[in-house]
This record gives sequence, C-alpha cells and structure tokens, in this order.
Amino acid sequence: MHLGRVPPRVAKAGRQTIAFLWRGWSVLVSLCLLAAVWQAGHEVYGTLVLPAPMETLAALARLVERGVAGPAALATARDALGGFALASLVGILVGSVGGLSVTAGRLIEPLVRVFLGIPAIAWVVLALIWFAGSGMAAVFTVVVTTLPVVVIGAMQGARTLDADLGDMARAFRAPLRVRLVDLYLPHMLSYVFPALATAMGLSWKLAVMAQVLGGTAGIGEGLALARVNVDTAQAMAWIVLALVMLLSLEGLVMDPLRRRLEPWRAPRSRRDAGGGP
Amino acid sequence: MTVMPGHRPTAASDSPGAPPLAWRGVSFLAGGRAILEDLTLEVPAGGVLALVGPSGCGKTTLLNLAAGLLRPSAGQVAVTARRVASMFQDARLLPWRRARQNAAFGLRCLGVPRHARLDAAQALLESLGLAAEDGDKFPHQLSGGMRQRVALARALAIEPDLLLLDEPFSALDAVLRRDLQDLVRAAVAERAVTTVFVTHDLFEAARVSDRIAVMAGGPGRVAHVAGPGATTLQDHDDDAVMARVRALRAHPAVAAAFRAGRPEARP
Ligand SMILES: Nc1ncnc2c1ncn2[C@@H]1O[C@H](COP(=O)(O)OP(=O)(O)OP(=O)(O)O)[C@@H](O)[C@H]1O
Ligand SMILES: [Mg+2]
Repeated sequence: MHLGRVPPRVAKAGRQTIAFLWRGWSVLVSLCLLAAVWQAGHEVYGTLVLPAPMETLAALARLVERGVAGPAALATARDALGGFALASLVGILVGSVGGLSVTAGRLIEPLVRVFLGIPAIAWVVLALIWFAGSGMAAVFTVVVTTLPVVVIGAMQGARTLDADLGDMARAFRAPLRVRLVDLYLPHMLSYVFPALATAMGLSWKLAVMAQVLGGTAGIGEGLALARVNVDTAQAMAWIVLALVMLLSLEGLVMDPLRRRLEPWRAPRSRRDAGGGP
Repeated sequence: MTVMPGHRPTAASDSPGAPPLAWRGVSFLAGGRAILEDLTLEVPAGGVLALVGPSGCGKTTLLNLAAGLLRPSAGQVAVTARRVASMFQDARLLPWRRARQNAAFGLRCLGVPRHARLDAAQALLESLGLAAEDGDKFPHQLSGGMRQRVALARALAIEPDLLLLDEPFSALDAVLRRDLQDLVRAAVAERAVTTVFVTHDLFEAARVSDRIAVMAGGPGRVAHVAGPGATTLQDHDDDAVMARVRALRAHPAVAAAFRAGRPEARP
C-alpha cells in the first residue's frame, strides 16, 4: 500500500471509518447470534414462555403506536439520568474532598463500603416507604446506589494527583485556571470517567427496577402491567426498549467520549512512561 | 526582582550588579534534620554553573528553593532573574497533552495565545532535534531522550533568564547523554541564559559548565568553587574535560566531599 501518498488527515479518516464499520459488523453478527438462540428457545418452549423475536418487535411497535412507549421511555430516562447527574455531581465533590484530605477520606471510606454493601433492592423498599406516591422513589434509589461508585472513583483520582507534576506547574508559575484545566481535570477525568460509565449503566437498571416495584410511570410500570396481564411479548418489548436506550446512550455518547479521552494512555506495559496514571 | 515568599528583599540584591540568583546563609530543615546549613552561593550572570555533589547532599533541595517550591528555614534566596525555568530529572510532561502542547505549557502559563505558543513550541522542538511529526505525539509515545528534549523546549520556550536543570540527563545512556549535554550547552550559549546545572557526575559537570561548585553532604554546604579559570566556552573537548576533572579531584575538599558520599561519580 502507498499510504505515504495519501494526506495524513484523509488516511486517518479512512482508518476511522473502517474501524467503525468493523465494530458495527461485529456487533451485528453477535446480535444475530443472540436472535438465533432466542428464536430456538421460542421454538422449544412456546410463545407463553419466550415469544419469538419478531413477535416481540411487533409488540413493541404496538406500544409505540398506542403512544405509551414514548412517555414511558422519557419517564425512565428522566429518573435514570436525573439520579445519575445528581450522584455524579455530589459524588465528585465528596470524593475529591475525601481524596485530598486524609481525615475526610478516613471518614468517607467506611461509609462508602457500607453503602456499597447494601443490596439495591433494599434501597428500593426503603424508597417506596419513604417516598410513597411522590414519584421520587426511582431517583432516590438511583442516587444512593450510584453515589458510592462515583465517590470511589473521584477519591482515587484525587489521591493519586501527581505531586511532581504539581511542582512542575508551580515552577512555571501556572495560574490556577491552567492548573485546573491542564493538570487536575484530565487526571481526575481518567479516574472518574470509568466510574461514571459504570454508574450510568447501573442507574438505568435501578430506575426500571424501582418503577416495577413502585408502579411509578416509566418502562418499569409497563413491565409490571405486562406481568399482571401475563403478556410475555409485551414484557420482552419493554426490556428491548430499555436495552436499546441504554446501549444507544453508551454507543453514541459514552464510547465516543471515552475514545476522545483515552489516546494519551500508554498501552499496558508502558503505563509508567511520562508520569501520571 | 522577586524574592522567595516570606523573605524580604535586601538592598544588596536590589543593586544593579546583583547576581540573578544567590543563596545567602540558607538553612533548610526537613523532618527535624538539617538538609542544608548556612549555605551561601552566588550564581553570576551568564554561563553555566554546575552544582556537583554526592547523592543526597541536598542539590535538589537547593534548586527547589531557587524555583520557589520550598522556603528556606533560615537565610535568604534572592532571585533577581525576571523569568525562571526549570527542568527536572524526570521529564514531568503532562501525559494527556501532546509534545507540542507540553512544550508550550510555560507559554500558556504566561498567557500567550494558543496559535502563537503552539507554533513557537513546534519550532523549538524541531530545533532541538525532534522530527516534525513528534510534536503530535503523546509523552508515552516518545523515548526518554525525546521526552527530555520536550522538557528542555518547555523550559527554553519562555525565554528564561535563569535556567535550573536538576540532573536532567542522569536517566539516559552515555551516548544520548553526551548529545543532550552538547545540545544544552549550545542552546544556553546561544541565548546567553544563566544556567545552574545540577549533577552528581564530575565529568558531566566539567563538560557542560563554566564554573563548578562542589557540594558536600551532611548537612549540605558548598565545599569548593572552581571558577572559570583558563577554560573558555570552546574548551570542552575530552582532554580539557579530563584535565578539569583531574584538577578538581586533586582538591582535598572535593575529594573529601565525594569520599563521604556514595562514590557515584566515575573514579
Ligand atoms: N521532604 C523531605 N523530608 C525529609 N527529608 C528530605 C526531604 N526532602 C529531601 N530530604 C532529604 O534531604 C537530603 C537531600 O535531598 P536532595 O534530594 O536535595 O539530595 P540530592 O543532592 O538532590 O540527591 P540526588 O543526587 O540523589 O538527587 C536527602 O538525605 C533526603 O533524604
Ligand atoms: Mg536530586
């Protein structure tokens, strides 16, 4: 190949397109495999236990036509993302303080462990008792379960701030703004972002769970209704809807962000080069 | 002029002939132990002053005091240089910034607009022996020698009038080290920037410097200062360097300083 003749920008765009297509292709193949297994299961156990993939899609289409899918999806997104945003904000603040101050860190760490140890379902039950009827149960559950995850990430980030790089910045008389943007933020991001990605997936599942048990508006409510009506196709349709939303959020927002944040990382063995995590 | 925080300027350091950097009666305590004790050393304007001494004698501490990263427990660190740049033993590049952005870091701190500073940094990187495309690389994609070149570019970019180098090449192999020593000498001579070059290697000191201050440890103090003498900027070929090192080693204070410390310098 005479890549040397191609302008670097064009070559890079070409490589990225090929990489994108390759990813899309492999995703498609694995989804087809899943659908095949699903179809086989349907043929063995029948519609009542496992409706066929096409039946599920038809049920989903009916939900969309009746105008219930849209509002439910929005309600779930609101609960999941609202709780996620709140947990991120508070978690980053608390975690940073815990990482920077040894005393605060000692206080926060046991709390984080306790909160991580409490099963999510217990929070749902408590939330239903505390917030019955106010519609806040799902948001509350999301916040308390994702908060410790974010706190841990932020705490590790703040703890591992590189003192040598800080000295370098001070030697060059870096103003606070430069130190924030060039030093602290990228470092913190490298620790907090993976935590946020985890919290994002978690928040979605917890919102649905709280809605199922609490009967509050959203995909979970639809699932609960489908259960009452023993309409397995509809239940599967709601599951597919929740899944598609979460996966598109990850594929369209989190993955591109991750790819933007990652290129400075050394591949495995050369991690220690150049300082930083 | 700037005087390190917590220390009032004195009349002497305000006078026009004041040296760019001087430690006057400086002591430094850490963990209840004296690292430096009543150390006085002036760095005259122009040329390279090498600060040699055994490992652990307090050279880094002395430079950190000059860079404003530490405050002396007693005495005064007078910096009349307007702009001070530092280079450390490890490159200390920002791992999440490209080489060009790293080299432009000092300029960014001075508020130079984005395009101007990146162009200046790129030009400097190329003048220091990096390929044009290396400017786009992240630190982990560069070799140790290349990273130190980026760190040197970052220091030179702000056009300092005082350059503080703390064993900048001690992690590199001998051949690369010689190249970079020559590079530093040329860069420094071209810009006529006053330079303090810390090393524990007498040979390196003799190769790069005009003056040599030998430090002894426990607690750190200046044991001996060898002036420029007959050596001129051209006098840095191997024979002259060997002669300088031999003359230094023959001096009782220098010999004592290195005997007390670990024998890091070549025999
Ligand atoms: N923050 C600190 N607290 C306690 N002791 C310290 C501290 N910093 C340095 N020291 C001690 O001060 C002494 C001088 O340290 P310094 O790093 O200045 O030595 P150095 O001459 O640069 O050595 P090297 O050639 O190995 O770099 C050492 O014995 C070190 O253990
Ligand atoms: Mg040192």
